[in-house]
Amino acid sequence: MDFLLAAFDPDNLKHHLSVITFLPVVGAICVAFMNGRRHREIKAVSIFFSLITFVASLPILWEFKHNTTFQMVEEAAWIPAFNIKYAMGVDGISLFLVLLTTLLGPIIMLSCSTNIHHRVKEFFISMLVLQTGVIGSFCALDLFLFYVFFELMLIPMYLLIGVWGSDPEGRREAAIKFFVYTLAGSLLMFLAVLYIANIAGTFDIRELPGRLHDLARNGQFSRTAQYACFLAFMLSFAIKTPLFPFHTWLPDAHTEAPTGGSVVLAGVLLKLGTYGMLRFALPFFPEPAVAMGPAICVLAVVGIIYGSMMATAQLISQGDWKRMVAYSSVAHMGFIVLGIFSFNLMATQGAVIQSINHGLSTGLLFLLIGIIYERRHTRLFTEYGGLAKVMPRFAVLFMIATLASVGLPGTNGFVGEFLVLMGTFKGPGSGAWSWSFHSTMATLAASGVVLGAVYMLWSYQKVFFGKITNPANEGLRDVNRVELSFTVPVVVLIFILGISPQWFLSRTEPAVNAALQHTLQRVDELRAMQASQK
Amino acid sequence: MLELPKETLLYLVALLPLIGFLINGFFGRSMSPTSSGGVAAGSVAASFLIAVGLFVGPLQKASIHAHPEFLTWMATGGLKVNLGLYLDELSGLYMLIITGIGALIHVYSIGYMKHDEGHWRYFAYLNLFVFSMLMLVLGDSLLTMFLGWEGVGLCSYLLIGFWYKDLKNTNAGMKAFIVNRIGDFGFMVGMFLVFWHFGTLSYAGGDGLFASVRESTANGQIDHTLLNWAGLCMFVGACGKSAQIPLFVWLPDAMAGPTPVSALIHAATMVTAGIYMLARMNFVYVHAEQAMMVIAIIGACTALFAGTIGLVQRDIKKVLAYSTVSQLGFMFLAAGLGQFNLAVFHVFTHAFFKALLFLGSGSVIHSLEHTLGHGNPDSQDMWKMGGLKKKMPVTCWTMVIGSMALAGIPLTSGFFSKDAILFSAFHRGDTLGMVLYGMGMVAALCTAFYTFRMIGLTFFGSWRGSEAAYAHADESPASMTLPLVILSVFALVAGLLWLPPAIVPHPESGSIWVSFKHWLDPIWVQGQTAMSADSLLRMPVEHDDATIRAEWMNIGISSVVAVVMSLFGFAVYSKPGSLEKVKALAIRNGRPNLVYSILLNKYYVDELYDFLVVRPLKLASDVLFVVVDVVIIDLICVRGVAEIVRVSSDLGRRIQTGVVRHYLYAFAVGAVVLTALFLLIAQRGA
Repeated sequence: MDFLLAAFDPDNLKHHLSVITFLPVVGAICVAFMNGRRHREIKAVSIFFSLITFVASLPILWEFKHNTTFQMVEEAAWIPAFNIKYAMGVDGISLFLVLLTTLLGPIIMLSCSTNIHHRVKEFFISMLVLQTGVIGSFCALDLFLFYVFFELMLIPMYLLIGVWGSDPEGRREAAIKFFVYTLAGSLLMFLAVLYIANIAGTFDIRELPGRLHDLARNGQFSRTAQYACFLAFMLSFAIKTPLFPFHTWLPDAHTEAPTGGSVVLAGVLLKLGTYGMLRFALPFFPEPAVAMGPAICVLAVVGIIYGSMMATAQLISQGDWKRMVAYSSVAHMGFIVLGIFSFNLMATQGAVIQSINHGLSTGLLFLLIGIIYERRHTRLFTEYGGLAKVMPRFAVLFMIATLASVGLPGTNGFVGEFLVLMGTFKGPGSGAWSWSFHSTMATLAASGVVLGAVYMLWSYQKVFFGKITNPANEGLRDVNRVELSFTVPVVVLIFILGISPQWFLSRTEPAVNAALQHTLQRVDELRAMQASQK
Repeated sequence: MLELPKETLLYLVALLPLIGFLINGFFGRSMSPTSSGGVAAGSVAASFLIAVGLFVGPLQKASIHAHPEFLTWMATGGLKVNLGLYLDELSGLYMLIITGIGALIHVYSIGYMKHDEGHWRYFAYLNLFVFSMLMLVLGDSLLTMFLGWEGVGLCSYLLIGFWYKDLKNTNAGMKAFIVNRIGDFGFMVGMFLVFWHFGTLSYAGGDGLFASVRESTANGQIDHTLLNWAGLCMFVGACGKSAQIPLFVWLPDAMAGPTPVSALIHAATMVTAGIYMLARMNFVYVHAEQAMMVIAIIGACTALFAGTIGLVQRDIKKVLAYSTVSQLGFMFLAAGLGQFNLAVFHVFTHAFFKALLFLGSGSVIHSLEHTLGHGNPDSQDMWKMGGLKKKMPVTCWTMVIGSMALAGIPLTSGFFSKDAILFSAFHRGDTLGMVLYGMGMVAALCTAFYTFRMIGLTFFGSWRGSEAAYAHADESPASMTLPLVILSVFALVAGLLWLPPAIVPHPESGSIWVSFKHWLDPIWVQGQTAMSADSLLRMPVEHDDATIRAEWMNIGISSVVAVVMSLFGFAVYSKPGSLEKVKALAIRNGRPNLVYSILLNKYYVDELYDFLVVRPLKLASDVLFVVVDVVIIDLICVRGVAEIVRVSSDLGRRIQTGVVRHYLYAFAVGAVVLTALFLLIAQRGA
């Protein structure tokens, strides 16, 4: 336990991020050496490691300074020949994503401890490795290192869907779809990574924006190349997010994945897409990002409306509960992308906070659906009805998740959506008012708020209200203590973020503002230069 | 108690019901109906007492603005919003209505919900509603108003669908929430526009909206186009919350909830939130002439439209629901004419008499349900009532008083407020004013008729329902009748606070009546340095001799219309056997005549929306899912690409030797080639 105690010593925070990144892998190694039939012990060890990872991540919060720089930075040469470093650090953009990941860790492990019964050992190893991959991706300050972590997540996730999926037929197809989609995107990105690292001579995320900007001004980084690289990065992140029309892998993956897989997917994996946009696509390629911003905004808004309509379609066709929530994710992630590509501080802040919000509220939805799936082994709406009578506590928890998902003020969902919409409404411009492109986008996106209420309340009605028509639902147990222990913390956070988002916003603002201002400044410089050349 | 600073007391007013909600929410299940009701009623009553204490302050023209720094809600990108509270004349009046009538209805509910196993849920929701409503009116910014705005919508949803085992109820709740969301969409866009123009969402303070408007007006920087749009968008929100055309459809269905809920939420308080918002934002609307015209026209249309539907309803609560929609229309008419003070005055009187009428109808329903069983539609069907006067004298006579106020019988509270609104339309003097006046007058005429039709059918004539129900019908307990009596006193006299200039010709005379009448005046000048010349706030009405004469004439017409139509409605429906005669008139050969069936089907608006909005949306969702997601993206694009990969990999299989070294070579070569290709492309582009 010494290393843990040492972790709390402020002097030793130098390696703090590495500790929390690799603790889950240490856990995975421990599990690997355990007897595969001792399920209880395997679960206990996994929960223990995810829990100490969470506890160990808390000092980041106390030590975090409200400024624009990367903090808790650690650096070491890794492959000096190519100037590849092992560099980690957090700033306002990644801070809460890291904490969200470490928080969801023990929650997911707890929820899985009740509903995974075969290949338990392999399951928890995958989960722990996955966690390392996600934390590493958010902390990496070296592009190559980022890519390694980014790809590291792919395999465990593929296994989670393919091995522990619910339907033997569907899960393989869903897993392959997930794999091919994601890999296709990330390979193109890898080429772009190699290209920019080659011309800039560094993989360092802190240096790359400046270097690339200089190269662009000198004409060594042509516009065509900028656009090609931007599109390569964007394709990868658009698939990950997912942005319409690259979203069709998500409903399949969510539907088939076990509860823990769905939670980690919705909770943090999707955030890597939008994180990548804000961290890489914007600062590295400001000009194409600004030039193509409107097109991406349109896709995001289409995603919001289209995702909502698809979620409604699942209800009309009496379909699958998880599939509906998956489509609602497409809509919610659309808000985040819209916020990022509006180039407005308020909207970007909203997008960052919405990433956390979506992780919490959609994570909670999947956790709760997992609880009922565990009892009834079906996700079809037609199988349910009248559950409020037999599972009153469960009904309350689900109502809170529903309200957070539809963005009711007082819950976290409202804060993100509102900031994104209000910021987007104004857009990057300033001055006198007229119905601009961005105002139109914000207005259209705001209609998603109405549609969200339609499918969320309708699905709640189908499951919880009315008389119990299916005898199988009559004797259902209400949520037990273990289930409360991993849902109540999320509920509490939903309200904390809803009532006191300022605590979070004030920590993200400096970094978000800097990223945005640099992007806009560089675009201005480039455009001024191009104008003078003509 | 008064030792505490006023800011703390103000927070206490809002937070006490929230504490009640938490107590009932967490522990109510194990509490008895009386104790959970006691907690709920006690918290609201306590907050009413504090509110009365604070009320003295605003009367002395001192507003309270509590906005501690630690309650910063959001502050980013130029926006700064506190969870602050702001008490002035307008929010003070609303605060008193909400907590005062709220407390009475909580007490009434203890009797009404005594035998319901979900009593604790009910009281928790009701407390949460009072808290949200207080946040709506006391919040110091548009965003805090929106917090309350959506909060009351949530409580309304939960309480309409309170008896959730019947899907009819939860459907009505869902309809209410979704239709309100359409309104909220407008509210949000309006908020964006206001923020764009003024750079803030808070009202008070040095950088608040009041100061900002004053400055913009002084510098001539008001963008009238923007404010017209903002005004219209926010009015869409008001249409949702306050059930105006075209978003009124949820309110009649909302009667599925428990009757005290209809009284508190769907008559006295929540549905008047739209008027509060317009009055609060008066500084936007005085610069938005077109928006104001739209509001006045929609208000008058709604008043008339709902008034005619009210004529044919059988369900006692539906009559009251349509009368609420209609009365809200009057309020919007007043607001659209720039007479915000009259709109708020009508909110004030309406709160008393409509709460009274709903509680009265609840008393009738409660008494009949005793025999007929809970949720039996017969307990609300006036065609199966009659002669209840003998059984329920207190309910009967308090409801008669409420009906007099609703019908606008002279000297009751409803008379003064409604008459003043009609007169302000008349006094506008142009064609539009006359048309609005005419519509309002016809609506008033319908109101008087159907109100006393209701009284006649329910309490007079002979009993038409099942014998058993009549035999067991009995007066409700004191916890229910006491609120009725208190409310009926206010329904009678509340209007005397606001006597028209014709009766009190010299507002300077300084009596208490006159000072109350001008009590709200500071609100209307908050945003301006002085009344601008083109201001739409036409108040106070000038009191020259011609105006006074016109006003007397108007009072005369209104009085005659109200009295004659009330007597007519009562006479037709109170005689035994008269209902059959009327039915025979409207229904020939088993087919209702055209006018009757149009009214009975509420002008087919629900069917129209179903055809125009609901079905197309469902169809589009379904078709898009199959066409775009399943066929185009998945089958053609994804599967297509996968097929190409598969075919090419079949070819590639021959290259597969199974030796790892070969793969590594191939990988390296491929990577180099691709990178080179990329570099070449990039270089050529440069």
